[in-house]
Amino acid sequence: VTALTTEISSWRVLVVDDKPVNLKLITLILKAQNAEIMSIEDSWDAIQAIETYQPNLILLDLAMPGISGWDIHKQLRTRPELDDVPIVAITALAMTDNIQEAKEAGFDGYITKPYHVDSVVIELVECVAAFTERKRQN
Amino acid sequence: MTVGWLVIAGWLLDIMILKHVLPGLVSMKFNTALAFVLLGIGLLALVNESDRKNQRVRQVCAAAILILGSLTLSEYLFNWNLGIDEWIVRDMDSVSYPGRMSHITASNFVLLGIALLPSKRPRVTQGITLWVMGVSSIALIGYIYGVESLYKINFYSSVAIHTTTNFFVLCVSILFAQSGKGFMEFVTDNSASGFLLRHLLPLAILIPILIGAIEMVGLHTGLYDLSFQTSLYALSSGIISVIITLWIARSLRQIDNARKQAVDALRVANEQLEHRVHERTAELEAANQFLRAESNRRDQAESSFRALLESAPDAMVIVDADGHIVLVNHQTEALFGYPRTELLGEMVEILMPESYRIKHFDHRTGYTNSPKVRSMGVGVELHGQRKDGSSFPIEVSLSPIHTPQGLLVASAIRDVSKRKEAEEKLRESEERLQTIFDLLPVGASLMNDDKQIIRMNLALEKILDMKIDDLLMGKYRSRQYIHSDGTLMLPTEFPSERTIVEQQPIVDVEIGIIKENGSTIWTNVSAASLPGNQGVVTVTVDMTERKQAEATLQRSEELYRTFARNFPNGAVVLFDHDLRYLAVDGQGLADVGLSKETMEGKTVWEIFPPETTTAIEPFLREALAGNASQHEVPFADRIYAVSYVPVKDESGTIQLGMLMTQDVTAMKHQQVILEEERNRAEQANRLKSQFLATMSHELRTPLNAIIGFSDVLLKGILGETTSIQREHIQDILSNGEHLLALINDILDLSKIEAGQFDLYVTNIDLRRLLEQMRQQLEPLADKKGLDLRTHFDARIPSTVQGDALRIKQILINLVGNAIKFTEQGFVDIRMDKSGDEDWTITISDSGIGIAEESLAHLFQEFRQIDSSAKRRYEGSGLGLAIVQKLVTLMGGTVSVQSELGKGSVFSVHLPLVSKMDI
Repeated sequence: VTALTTEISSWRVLVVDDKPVNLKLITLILKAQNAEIMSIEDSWDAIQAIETYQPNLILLDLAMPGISGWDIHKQLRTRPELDDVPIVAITALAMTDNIQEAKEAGFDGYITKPYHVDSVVIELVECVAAFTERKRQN
Repeated sequence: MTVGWLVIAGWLLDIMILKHVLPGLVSMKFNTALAFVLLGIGLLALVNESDRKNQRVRQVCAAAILILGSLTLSEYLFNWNLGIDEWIVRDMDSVSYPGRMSHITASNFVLLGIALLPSKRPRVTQGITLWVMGVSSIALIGYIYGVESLYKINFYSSVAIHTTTNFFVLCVSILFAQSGKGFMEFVTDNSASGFLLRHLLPLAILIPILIGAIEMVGLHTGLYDLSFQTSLYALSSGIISVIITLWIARSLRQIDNARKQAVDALRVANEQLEHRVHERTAELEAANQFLRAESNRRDQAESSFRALLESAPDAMVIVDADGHIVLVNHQTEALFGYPRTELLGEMVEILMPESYRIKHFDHRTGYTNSPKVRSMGVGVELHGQRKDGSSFPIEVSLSPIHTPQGLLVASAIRDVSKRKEAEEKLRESEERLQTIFDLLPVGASLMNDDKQIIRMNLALEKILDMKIDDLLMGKYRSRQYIHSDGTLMLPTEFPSERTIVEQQPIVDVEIGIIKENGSTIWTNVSAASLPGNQGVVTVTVDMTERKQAEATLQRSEELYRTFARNFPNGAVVLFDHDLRYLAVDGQGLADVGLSKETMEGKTVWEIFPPETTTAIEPFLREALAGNASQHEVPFADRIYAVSYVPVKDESGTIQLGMLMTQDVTAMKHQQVILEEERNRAEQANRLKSQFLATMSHELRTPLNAIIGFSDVLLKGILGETTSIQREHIQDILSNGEHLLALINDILDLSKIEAGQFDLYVTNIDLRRLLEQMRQQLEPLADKKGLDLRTHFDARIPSTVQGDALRIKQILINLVGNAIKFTEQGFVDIRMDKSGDEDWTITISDSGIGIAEESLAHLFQEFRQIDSSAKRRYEGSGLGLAIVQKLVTLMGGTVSVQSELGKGSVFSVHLPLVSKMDI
């Protein structure tokens, strides 16, 4: 697994979203920044995909039919091998309650849709920077 | 001795006359002369024998003479020459034994040496001396009569004339040196024998020698022959003897006559004396008798005086005018601890403490100047001081005694320590009694049989409002007193005075005392006699307060009854510790099938069936234990709220329990309705929130594609686009963003209005926040060529409490507006500290400004200026409304100053410390 740094080219991103258009958009943006990215549309496949793909950054939509982003996050955080992988929510749930809830659940970042190209990249880099800093301190 | 010295000088100088006296006569030897000198010294020493040194001198001289004489004699006896005869001076005159004294001289010296040696043997001394005198007389007579054999043993050894004369004189001297002692007593005696001896002895010695000498002269001259001389001698001796005998007889007769005369005179004198003795004796006897009588009387007087003194119960000290103690009795000794002998002659001040002595001295002097019987130091505490230094209180009475020897002062001193102690005890017990008296909460007084108050306490003073002194003076009788029915009461009707008259206790008499100010004090008075006619004790209890309390109680009871009777929709019940209902009342009493009459005075068990009792008893008990409780009881299709509360008095003691029941059926119904309404409202609210959240999510999802892809296209991620394309893609993006802003504003407003809007207050760094805003908004200003200025007041604390996100929202809204409505010029953002507790954001621009009529509803929702006319500026019209609501939420205010065409100034005042929890 490639070590995660704030250099986007080092990123190996797995993104889960039930809307293919959203997957397309984020893939376009991150690919343009030379990140490796794999997108999962069916959240039921997410766990499996993570095991095989072995990303170093996971982006989760929250409100999804079937298994939600909350649930996936919860499951992933039970796996110690993923301790070094930041999990960032990227969602249209923009109410402050939701943001607070995600923070308490232990998400490593929270990006609200809609987003601009520049802003999403900047926010992701900030999330990664904060995460790696936290890890370094621990 | 002089002769001795002369002979010694003669020998030394060889002068013939000194050695021989007459030429041809034997010379006195040098040793002889030396012995005479020694004898002379010894004799002088004998005269002054009292001195021990003289004794020693005498003995030494005697010994020397003895030795000299003995040695010389031994030379004669043993016929040897010891060389002592010429050891100093050579004798040129003598033929035989040159320088050696004669046998006689030597033996005389031995004898005189012996005579002088002992000190206490005058008879021995005198005997030996007489012997020597006899020997020397023989030699002397020898010289007088020219009989050589008398002074010469042989030719070679003879006694010199001055030697023998010297011996004779010396012997006489020795005898007289001890004239009063030994044999010489006879001579020096004053008796007749002494007289005869003194007169006759010299004559008896001298006359025969003289006659002999005269006859010898006559014989030698040849006037007569030896027979004539002998007869003449006999005749003259007879004549002289007769003369002497006659003289003796005459002397004896004279002596006898004198003796007879003396005896006669003596007898006469004796008779006279006897006569006088008789007279004197008689006189003396008379005097004696008188004296004896006097003495007896005096003895009697003195002994009775002493007895009186000793029997006096007090210590008696009698002092002379100078303050010396002359007499004391044994009580004095006992009281002061001095033995009599130590006191007599001492100053009386010895019996006083040091501090009083000087003062007493003055007093004493004053007293002796005007003595009279009085007690000492009236009004002063007098103290005596014992020998051991301890002092004690005394009482002294003084009385002067005039005696021929002068003034004496008798002091009777009494130890009053016991009395003082008793007095002190009495006083203490009096005080104790008065204290107890004064401590009594009720008025108390003691009256004697003469109807005089002799003791009273403070409480009575207070009740009567009269000073004790006035009361004791009987002034209380001047007050007006009334019976309980208001009629006047006379002092004779007082329980105290009645008790004295009626001889029985009078109790519980109600007396009204009319005070000076006209008000009445009600008292309850009881009186009773003390045993043994010691007076009457009266107890007065102030009833005023009790009466007032009773009235108050009555009033409060009335109040309570009124309250209870009017208690709405229920009942009030008071119960005691026996669970007995004391008071029951209330408007709702009948509704529950109870009545005041059936309940009051009865216990729980008497009123209710056992199942009810069991249910309510714990609550009643809890209330009486101090624990209030409340519960609801359904009864006959109604609901009753029942409260059990403890009823405490002022001290906090639980006296009673109170039960209040109230029909709360209507209230309950109301409550249920309200509850349901609230639930419904909450449900609706939840649904609204749910709806808003869902709507937000559902609107944002498509917007993500719209904004995201248009941005992707504009950024050229998918390749170059034409300017026309870019212009349209930009339109899509802008509209998408507008839509997003609209959605956000609507959501915020909805949440604020639903009360669901929460501020996240943290410590924020305003300087950093301002800088972020500047960076974020600068591109917008740059796009329009506007000058974006910021200013930060350094007085603002480094951290301020607030919701950073919402402050940013306010800034973005206001600064966004300013940029939007300003075509050229500047936009200025200031953050200032505007007071001790608040800070201000001021945003001013050089924009189009706001018309006066628009200012009033500037902050209303969906108000955009100039909305109808040109619609030149995009916006939801919600921005300022949100700003105002956010600022209000934060506890601040927002205001605007503007004029059309002259720019606008928006001011936001916010607290430095949030009033909300962080």
